[in-house]
Amino acid sequence: MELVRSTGLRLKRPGGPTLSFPDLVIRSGERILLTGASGAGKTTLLSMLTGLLAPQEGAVLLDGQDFYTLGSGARDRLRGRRFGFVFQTLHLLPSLTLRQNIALAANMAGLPVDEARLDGLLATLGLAGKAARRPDALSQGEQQRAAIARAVLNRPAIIVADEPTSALDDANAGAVMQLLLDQAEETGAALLVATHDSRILSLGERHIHLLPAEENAA
Amino acid sequence: MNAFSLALAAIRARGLQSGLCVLAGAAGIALLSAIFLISTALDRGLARNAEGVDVVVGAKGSPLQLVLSSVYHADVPTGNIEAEDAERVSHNPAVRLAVPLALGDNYHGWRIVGTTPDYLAMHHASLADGRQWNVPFEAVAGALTGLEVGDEFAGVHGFAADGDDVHHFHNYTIVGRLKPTGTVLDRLILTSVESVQQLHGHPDADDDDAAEEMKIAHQVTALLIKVKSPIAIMNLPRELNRSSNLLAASPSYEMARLSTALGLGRGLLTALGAGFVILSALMLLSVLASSLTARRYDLALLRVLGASRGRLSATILSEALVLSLAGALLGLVAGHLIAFFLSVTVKSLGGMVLPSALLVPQALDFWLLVLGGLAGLAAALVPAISAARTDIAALLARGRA
Repeated sequence: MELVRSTGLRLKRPGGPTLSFPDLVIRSGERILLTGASGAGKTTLLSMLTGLLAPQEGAVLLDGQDFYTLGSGARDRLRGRRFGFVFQTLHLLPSLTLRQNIALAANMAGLPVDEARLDGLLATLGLAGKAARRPDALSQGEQQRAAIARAVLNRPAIIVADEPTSALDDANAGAVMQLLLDQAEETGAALLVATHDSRILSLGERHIHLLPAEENAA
Repeated sequence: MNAFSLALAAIRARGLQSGLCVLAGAAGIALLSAIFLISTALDRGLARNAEGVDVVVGAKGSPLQLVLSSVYHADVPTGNIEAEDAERVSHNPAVRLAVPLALGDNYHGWRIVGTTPDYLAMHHASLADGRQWNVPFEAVAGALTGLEVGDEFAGVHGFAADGDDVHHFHNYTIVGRLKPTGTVLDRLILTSVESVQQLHGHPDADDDDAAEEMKIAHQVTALLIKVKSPIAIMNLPRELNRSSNLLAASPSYEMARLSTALGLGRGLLTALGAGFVILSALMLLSVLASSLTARRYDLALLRVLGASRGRLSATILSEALVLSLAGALLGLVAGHLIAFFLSVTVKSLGGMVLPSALLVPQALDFWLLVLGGLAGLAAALVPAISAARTDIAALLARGRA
């Protein structure tokens, strides 16, 4: 099933060249790797696809509907419900417990927290005994797993991961990618990973490579 | 989690900064609250003490001094007037009631006032114990004096508690103790006019001012007058001031003048309190702004997870509101306690301010709470707008680099 279709996306960031992006279609269950050098616009493209950054030209269709014709509030809500996010540095809120951090995904998307699913995720990801702890009492790997639990709590249609393994050693990078693949498979979600980490390039079914900004510029 | 619980979590996470914000807010509100409570209680005390007194008559001098010394017992008298002059004024057709006051002595700083039982009636005073005086040198003690029925003491000349000119001629005996009235009566020792006059009619042989004291035997200090018609409040002082060597003053007029003069000091204190509130709002702004910088990724994360711009602003505003309201509440409690503490420890406030009334919640508390909350919201406005405008995409790109 087609989830996202982007066409003719172009954007000029302040002080930078105008970036043009290839047209893109994301379907249920797909594993897509988005690669390219630093500054090629990987995060910019992810932001436009997920309703965080309006393109100056082009359109993003989510479930067949033009994402950017929606009001800001509706777009935010839809993003919270249809997308799950994993980041390299944006992990957990230090003021909240692990459980509260994971539940945030439902809270912010305006959904009721599925407590049974949350418990199941904690158990699956080896965090069952640590739900009441705050992030500073957890290891880097545990925090990363908690971030993955938060990303999949709402059973999103698309899991978006931005450089999820860049800061991890080989063992942890492999474990994190495996967890993402497992969770995507379990929920039937598409997995879109922006990365320049050569260790995980073999895991994608499809690669989209962005050219460096100078070559990409129109 | 809603905006409120997110705000609470953020506040808990920055315990020290949050605590300092609350304390700064509390200081301003406490100062404002205490100033308003004391000044309002003083205004009421001034009115309560002057109730039933339309005109005060005494020796020539400052009208304000005459009112302060005879109505509020807060200054030295302008002098004494002859008993015959007082008698003549008492029989003026415009006068409904004239209550004489004979001052001049104290016991441990509590003024001894020679008067008539009308003075007690004027202040709605009643006995807690014993009876009224019947003969000279019997006295009734005010509620704050600590004297009990049966106590005996010698009066000391003047109003200073540490004076050494003791009247050995005759001791006073307390025959009654008054219930608290919330007026100056609470800190007076009341006796007959004759007691004061007789005491000064028999000065000690070694008194330097024996001749002066002998005069007091035929004098009173002031007359508290209630007139028959409102027009006499204006006319009687005018008539007496023009045609006699007496001074007549209207307590309400003099106290209005005093209130205007005191208003400057009150205004300065209020400005100081308002300054504290503004300072605490600026401190809150600084804390929110710096925490916003530190938490920009947290806020960006909330947006990524589906929080609207409005929800982000609401979280910041909730934080400010919780901190400022907590400060205002703490400040209100502190303000009431400070006002109460002052009322029971500052002797000159005795009989002017009712301490128990200072612990009762006032309508003003609500408005101070609103003021505290609004100051907090005003301080949070810029950080809240800034949070809502966060460029998530740019932040994500920077955060990743």
